[in-house]
Amino acid sequence: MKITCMESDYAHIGYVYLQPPSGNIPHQTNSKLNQSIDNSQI
Amino acid sequence: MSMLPYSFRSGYEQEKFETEYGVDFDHSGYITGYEIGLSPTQFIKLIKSQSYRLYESVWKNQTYHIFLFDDYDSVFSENNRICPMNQKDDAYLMIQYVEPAALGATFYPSEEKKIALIKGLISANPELYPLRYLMHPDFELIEDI
Repeated sequence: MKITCMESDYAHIGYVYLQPPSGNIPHQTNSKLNQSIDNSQI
Repeated sequence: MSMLPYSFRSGYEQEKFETEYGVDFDHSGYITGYEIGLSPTQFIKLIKSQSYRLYESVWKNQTYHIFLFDDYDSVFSENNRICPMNQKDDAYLMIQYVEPAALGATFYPSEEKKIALIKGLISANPELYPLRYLMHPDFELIEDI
């Protein structure tokens, strides 16, 4: 099972490959949650 | 642990719950991978404690493999739910509902939807979720992207 953790100045995001990865950049990088965040709270 | 009456994809697309980040599906509704909030500290802690582990069990007269993505007690909490991936009886997710505030998020306008965290994979489909793949950990930490 491949699990990746990516650290940057902006976020700590991981990706869990439930199936064997077939490419180097296999996934979308959209933040569904962040779209719903009230910016005034940040 | 109760079973949800809908698949994870329908719940995701019909917004019965939120997820932290994106979830990738194949054409049949099986999940191929998903993004999570995960700090290097959390990641290393889970690896050191050997929380990522695989179990084999018999359920519904079928052999299933259960892969844990968190501490045992967090995965097998009786408050968690089991969510089928589709109509077939061969793959499920174990999910934990959490309040948005628990993850530091605030919805606007305020909604009562919770966030579904994936805590475990239950599979009786070795073609999609190969046992050999589940048994071999491959942990990658990428810094300063």
